[in-house]
Amino acid sequence: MNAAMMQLKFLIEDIRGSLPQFLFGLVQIVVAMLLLCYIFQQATVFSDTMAKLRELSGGGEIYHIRMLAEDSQISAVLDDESRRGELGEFMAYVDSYPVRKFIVNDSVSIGFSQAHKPFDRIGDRDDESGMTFITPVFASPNFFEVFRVSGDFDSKRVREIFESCAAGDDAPAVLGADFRPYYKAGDIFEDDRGTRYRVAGFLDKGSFFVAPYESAKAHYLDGTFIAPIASLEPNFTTLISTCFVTDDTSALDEIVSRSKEMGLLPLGYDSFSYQAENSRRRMLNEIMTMATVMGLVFLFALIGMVTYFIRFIQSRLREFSVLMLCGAREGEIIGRIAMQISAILLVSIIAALAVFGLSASVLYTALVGGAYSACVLAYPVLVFKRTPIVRILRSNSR
Amino acid sequence: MSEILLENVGKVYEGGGYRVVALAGVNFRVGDGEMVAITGPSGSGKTTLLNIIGLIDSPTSGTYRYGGRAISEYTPAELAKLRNKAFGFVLQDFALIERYNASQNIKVPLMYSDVPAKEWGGRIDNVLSMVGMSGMQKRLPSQLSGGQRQRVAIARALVNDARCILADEPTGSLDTKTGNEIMEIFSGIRDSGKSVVVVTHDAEVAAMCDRTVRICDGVLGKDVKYVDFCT
Repeated sequence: MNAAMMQLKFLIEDIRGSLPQFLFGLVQIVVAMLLLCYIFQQATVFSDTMAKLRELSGGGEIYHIRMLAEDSQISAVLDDESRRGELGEFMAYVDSYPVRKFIVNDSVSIGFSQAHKPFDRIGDRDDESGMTFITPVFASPNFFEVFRVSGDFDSKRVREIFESCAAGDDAPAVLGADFRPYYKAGDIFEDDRGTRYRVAGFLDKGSFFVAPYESAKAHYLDGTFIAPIASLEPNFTTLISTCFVTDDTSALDEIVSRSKEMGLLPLGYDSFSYQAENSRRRMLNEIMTMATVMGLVFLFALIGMVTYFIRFIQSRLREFSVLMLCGAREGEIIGRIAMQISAILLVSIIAALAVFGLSASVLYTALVGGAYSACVLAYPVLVFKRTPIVRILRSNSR
Repeated sequence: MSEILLENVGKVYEGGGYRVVALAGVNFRVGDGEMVAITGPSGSGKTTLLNIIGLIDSPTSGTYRYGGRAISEYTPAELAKLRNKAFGFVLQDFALIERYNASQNIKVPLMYSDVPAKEWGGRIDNVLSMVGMSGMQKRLPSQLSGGQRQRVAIARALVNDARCILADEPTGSLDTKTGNEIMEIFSGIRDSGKSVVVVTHDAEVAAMCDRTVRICDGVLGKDVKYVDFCT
C-alpha cells in the first residue's frame, strides 16, 4: 500500500476512534488561531497606521481647524444666504494661503438609486427610500500622494484631472477594489443629486488612509470611492476637513483672526500629534488586551491539545508497538500523529483564510501554528525515539 | 541464507543506580529449518535473548549477525524492514490489536511490506487456513478464544513469509491440548524450511523442538536434550 494512503487511512481511523475529543481540541485550536490572526491583523494595521502617520507628519506638524460654536450658531451662519458671498471670500482666502494643505472630507453620505446594482451590494441600503448610501471621500488632488494611496491608475494623471475638475463637470472617481467586478475605467455612474462620476481607476485591495481629524482612525477604501473636493459645493465643512502641514502656527492664527474679523464663526485649531499619541496608546491598549485574552485561550488550547495527544498516544501505545514489531518505523508512527496535528493546523489555517482572506496575518498565524504543532509533536517524538520497542511492548502488555 | 548468529553477545540494563546483567557472552546460532527452544528460570534472560534476535532490543556488547551481516551495520529503516520481512513474532499475550478483526490483524505486516495489495487477500486466506482459522476473518480478538487468538498471531507471523518465527511463551496462556496444537503448527512451519525459536519454561514444549538451549543468569549453557534438561 502506498505510504501516504496508509497514513491517510490511519488518520481517518484515528480521528474516528476519538472523534469527540478530537473535535473539542480542534475547536479550541481554531478559536485560538482565529484570535491570533485577528491580533496579527490589528498589529499590522497598527504598524501601517503608525507608518502612515509618520509619513503624513514628515513635512511638519498637522493641524486642522475646529469650529468653536454651538450647532445652532453654525447652522445660522451656514444657512444665511446673505453671507454666502463672505463665506466664499473666506474660503478663497484659506485656499490661497501659502501653507501646504490637504483636504479629506468623508462626512457626506451620497444616495444611489436601484439602477446602480453594485451599490446595493456594497453600500448601506435604506429600504424606506429604496436608496443605497455610500460615503465617498472628497479629497484635494494631492490626496493620493499625501496618503500614499495607490491603484491601477497613474497618480500624476489622476491629480491633473482632480485639479481640472470644476463644479458641474463629470467628477472623476477612483473606485475601491470592491467595485472592480462591476465597472471599468471610463464608465459613468450618477448619484441621486444628479452628479455624474466618471471612473478614473481602481484602488488596490485593502487601501486605507489615516484621518488626522478623527483620532488617527484608519479608513478603509475598498467599499467607497474618492472624488475631488471640487465636486462638493465649497462650505465650512470643507474648511474643517482641511489639514494644514506647518510648523508655524501664525498662519493658522491669521485664518482664525480673519474669520473673526469677517464676523463668521469662531474658530480654533488642533494639533494632530496629540491625537496621534492618544490614538497610538488606544490601539496599543486594545492589542495588549486582546493579546492577553488570546494568550490565555492559546495556553488552554495548547494544554488541551497536548493532553489529547498524550491520551491518544497512551491509549494507542500497544497498537503502535505491535505495528513496530511488524515492521513500522518510528518515523511512520510519529508521522501518523503528525498527520493529526497537521489536519488540525490545516483546518485552522483554512478557517483563518475564510475569515481574514489571504494576508500576511494569516501567514504569520500559520507560522505560529507550525511552531505550536512542533511543540505538540515533541512528546511523541520523545516517546518513540527514546523508548525501545521492547519497553513500550512490555509496559503495555496485559 | 538467513542464519542467525550471536557472538559473545551481552546485554546490561543500567540506570538509576542499578545494573542488571541480562545476558553475558552469549554465543548462539539458529540455522534454516531449525526449531530451537530456549529454556531457563524466570528472569534468566530468555526473553531478552529472543528480543535481541527479533531486533526489538539491541545488545550492549558482542556481535549479532543476520545472514552474515552484523546488525550494527543496519540503519533503523533497514532494521524495521528486516523485522518486517525476516521475523514473525508470536507472544504469550498474542499482541493483537483489539479493534482490528482477525483479517486486519494479519494484514499489519503486509502494510509495511513490498507485497502488492492485490495479493493480500489471498495470502491472508492462505495463512488462516494453515492455522485452521478459515472463516473467522471478521472476528475481533475479543470474540476469539485464547487458542484462536494465538493462531491469528501465528498467521500474522507467517503472512509475510518470514524466515524465522520467534515465539515467546506461545503456549503460556493456553491449556495443554491447545498448546500442543499450537506446537504442531510450529512443527509444520519448521518442516516448511523456516526456523522457529521458542522461549518456554514448559519442558513438554521444549521436548517438541529439535534442540533446547538452557539459559541461567544470562549465561547460555550447552545444548541439552529434553531428558538432560529435566534431570
